[in-house]
Amino acid sequence: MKRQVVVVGAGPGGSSAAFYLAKKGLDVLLIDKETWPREKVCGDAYQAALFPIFKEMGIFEEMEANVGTEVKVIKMVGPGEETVEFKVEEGEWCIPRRIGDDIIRRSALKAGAEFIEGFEATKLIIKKGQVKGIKGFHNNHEMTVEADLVIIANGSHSMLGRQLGIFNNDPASYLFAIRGYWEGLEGLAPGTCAWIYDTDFMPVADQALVDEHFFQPMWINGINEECTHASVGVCVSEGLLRGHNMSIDGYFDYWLKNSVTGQKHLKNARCVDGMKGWRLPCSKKIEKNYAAGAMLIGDVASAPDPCYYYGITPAMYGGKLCADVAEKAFAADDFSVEMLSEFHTSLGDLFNAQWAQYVAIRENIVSKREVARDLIKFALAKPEYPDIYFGAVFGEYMQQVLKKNEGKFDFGKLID
Amino acid sequence: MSIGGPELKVEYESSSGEKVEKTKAVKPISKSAVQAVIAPLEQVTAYINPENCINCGACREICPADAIAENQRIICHGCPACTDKPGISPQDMDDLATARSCTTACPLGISPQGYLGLTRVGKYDEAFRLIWEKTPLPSVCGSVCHHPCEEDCKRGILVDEPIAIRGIKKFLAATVATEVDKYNVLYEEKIAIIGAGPAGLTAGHYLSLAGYEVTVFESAAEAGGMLKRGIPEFRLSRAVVDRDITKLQEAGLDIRLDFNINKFTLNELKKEYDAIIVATGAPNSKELQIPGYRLAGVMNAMNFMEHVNHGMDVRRHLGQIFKYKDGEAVIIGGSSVAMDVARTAVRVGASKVTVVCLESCQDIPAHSWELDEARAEGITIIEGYSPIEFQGTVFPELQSIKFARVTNCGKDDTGRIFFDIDEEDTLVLKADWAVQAIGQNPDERWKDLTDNDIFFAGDLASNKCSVVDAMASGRKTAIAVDAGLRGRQVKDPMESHDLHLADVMEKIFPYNRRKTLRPTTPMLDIDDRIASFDEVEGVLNFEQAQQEVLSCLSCGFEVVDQEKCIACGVCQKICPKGDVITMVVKEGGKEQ
Repeated sequence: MKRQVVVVGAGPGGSSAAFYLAKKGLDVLLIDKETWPREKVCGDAYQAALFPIFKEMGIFEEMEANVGTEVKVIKMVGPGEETVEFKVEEGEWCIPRRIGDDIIRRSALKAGAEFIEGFEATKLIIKKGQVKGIKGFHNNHEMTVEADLVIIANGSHSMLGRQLGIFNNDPASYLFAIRGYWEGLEGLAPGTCAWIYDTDFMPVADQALVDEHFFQPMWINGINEECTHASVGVCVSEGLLRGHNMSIDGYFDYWLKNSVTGQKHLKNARCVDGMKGWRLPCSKKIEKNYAAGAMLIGDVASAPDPCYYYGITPAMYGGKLCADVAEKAFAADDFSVEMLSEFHTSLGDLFNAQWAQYVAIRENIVSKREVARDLIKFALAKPEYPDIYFGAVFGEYMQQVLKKNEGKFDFGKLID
Repeated sequence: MSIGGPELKVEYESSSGEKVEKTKAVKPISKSAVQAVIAPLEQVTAYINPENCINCGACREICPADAIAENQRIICHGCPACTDKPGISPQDMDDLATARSCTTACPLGISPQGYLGLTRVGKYDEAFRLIWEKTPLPSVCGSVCHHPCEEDCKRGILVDEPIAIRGIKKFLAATVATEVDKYNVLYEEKIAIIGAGPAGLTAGHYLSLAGYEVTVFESAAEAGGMLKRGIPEFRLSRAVVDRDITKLQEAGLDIRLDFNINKFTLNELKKEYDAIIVATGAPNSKELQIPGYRLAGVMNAMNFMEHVNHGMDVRRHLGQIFKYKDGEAVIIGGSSVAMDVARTAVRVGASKVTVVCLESCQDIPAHSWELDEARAEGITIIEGYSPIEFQGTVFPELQSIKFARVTNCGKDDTGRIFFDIDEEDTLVLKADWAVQAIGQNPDERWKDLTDNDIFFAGDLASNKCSVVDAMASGRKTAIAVDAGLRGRQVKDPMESHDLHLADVMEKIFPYNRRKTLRPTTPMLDIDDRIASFDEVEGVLNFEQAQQEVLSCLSCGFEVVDQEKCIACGVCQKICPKGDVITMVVKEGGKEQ
């Protein structure tokens, strides 16, 4: 089989790439190993930053109709149960990924992309250093697709990214996460999503370790209006798990039993279908995401942001930008490294500055637990900057602070 | 072609003194044949012996002068004692004789009476070839055809039970090991066919027989299309499909697997091929997009059947929730596919299977025998309800399905189903998983194509959805392609096939042809059926097949119109039985 572009993976990244490529009149084949709609382990939140893309893809209304919880309040819980609640104008949407991702995929098909499900890509065809297609299994039978351009968007477990040597395999930079759907939650106001940074549940002996990996939250994202049902999970680095000699589900169980906040909300709740885990490759800046004849988007390119651990936003913007690069490449009939490196630059321009900011803040806060408390106090005192909270997008004000301090985040100078 | 006739025994002593016995076939020389040799050509005509004719239709289809027509005998139905069925008036009998016949019922135009007759006289190879010329998939037809011929069998209508025509075809396909002739390439034109399903393979077979070089492109790794992806193994075993496809490939059909064509690659094909037939079928299941249709546990028929048919481990991937191993299953739909899905659900281990359909009683689209088989396997069928909501948790997992009673259900002029529901009258069924089997949408990728050299076949060309209808559509398209390329109109036997009333002297008296017993087709025990995917229906054995073909009343025979006959003798040459057609002097012609 021969196609102009083959997109491996029909998640939000792959589907948006297929959408924009098909809109440009290219012959696109979208493949996915699952039968759709499929389940996805995730925090189930679609950020407000995605709304412009949803509008471009013509799915804004349909997504809105399927929203489980429109986040109006972000509840931050810090150490010592200090809590702050932020009201947000345009909050993120909590939609089970099974539903939301399927809406995105269908829009790609409507745009004219061809779709094959049950196709697991296992290998890239590489000739003279140039990616020329993929090999894989479709319904248990071996199958080959030749293509001028391969868009790899099949997640952090991708074998294709590894084959190119691009996949970032640095244990320090990626995290483990688990999530479960819980029912019977208590004490959450409607429209709330909770970010919990209570580190007090750990024994005193482990506090140093907790401080070191401070920036790793538990989340409770309501998925119904009343917030009695929620997606509950946690993100932790490999270092933390090694330090505690714990598995990630052991860590979660320990938190559930010993944390005051956990007991408050989840005491009488029940996990519906077990906690499920995945790996989240994050990096401090956009990693190299191209090779001759191939571009990588989403988790496979280590694109989830280093602070929120949000993966859908960079994946879908990646899909959009890679289609622009692909259009130029097809016009010039040139799929060399030089041609495709533009994708890396353009995605970097979009995200790197923001991420550098995240990282700077994060590194300043690590091992300063009192700083966290101060930050909450500051946030409460400054209602005009509602987007200041742990790990959140530090808004315009924070950018000014960083500018003033030549890129350094000095917490002492924050509260004046 | 071998011609049956008397054998001459010769005994003589060899030079060494031993007694040698030899038999020598002798061609029958009838009086009329001798006369024909000496009569002037315009006074000669072909004559079909009604007693010997088995009504296979070969001569009728090949006759260049359209001189041969099928006649149907009437069946004596005056005294009610003769048959199990109520009597009808002579006038109604006359009408019935020319209105319905097994030979016109078959969408593919195969004459059942023909291969039954050839089986009766022991000409199994000829019987198989008769089928093979009309369908490239005889074994598949033998297993899954919905046998409209049996519905129109006059024995079934007027006497007792119809002949097990499909059973005979299955017997022939399974036991006759004929090597098929290779296709001869006669023409330069090349034809591409997209899709190796029943429609595509049939079109390929017909065009190959006509003398074109045909290439079939198939996107999957196996040829067969829905035969392998859609139909469950207990109705059509994979070995049966492979047997037919291997025969096609032996005959010289080029099938390229793993070759997916889309509208972009189609342009490249256009450069190389003179005509393209698109027969990609209806691979996408329709979905009722009612609230909750994306819940985990709600599947569509195609996805479900594909997973089961490919033996895929459904919990292979993280996050894939494809819960159909146990629990209570609800199947939505009343078609044959819904019954297949329900029976498959029983086999994959569902504790309880319920089928819910819109229609009630007679209107259910599935065939009555399918409903019976489903009920025999413990499936509950609820009629007259339409789903209005898939109810589940917010997580999102299916828990139950809400149905509303259908008050008025029918079909409009275009064949689209319409119905009203009473929202007050509802029914909630617990469901751990559900399958929507409410029909399939044709492949939409090609709908904008209007080129003259692109043709459509199968589901893309017609609304009918059975395997045999798809094959019939493939054949029809093949004829259209041939007409377009060669500028000729090949006679479509189905369109120019009228039935005439036979002479009253040919009347059949069924009483002396009453059969004692219809051989029951071997079937698996119910317990064995639901425990495995083995084919439920077996094959008739030799004795059973022989007994069954003897029961055929032989209602039809061919008659030559002496005015039209040009005495070319083609019919005599093509006749597979051999002892039917002779050349005689026309009635009223002068004897010299």
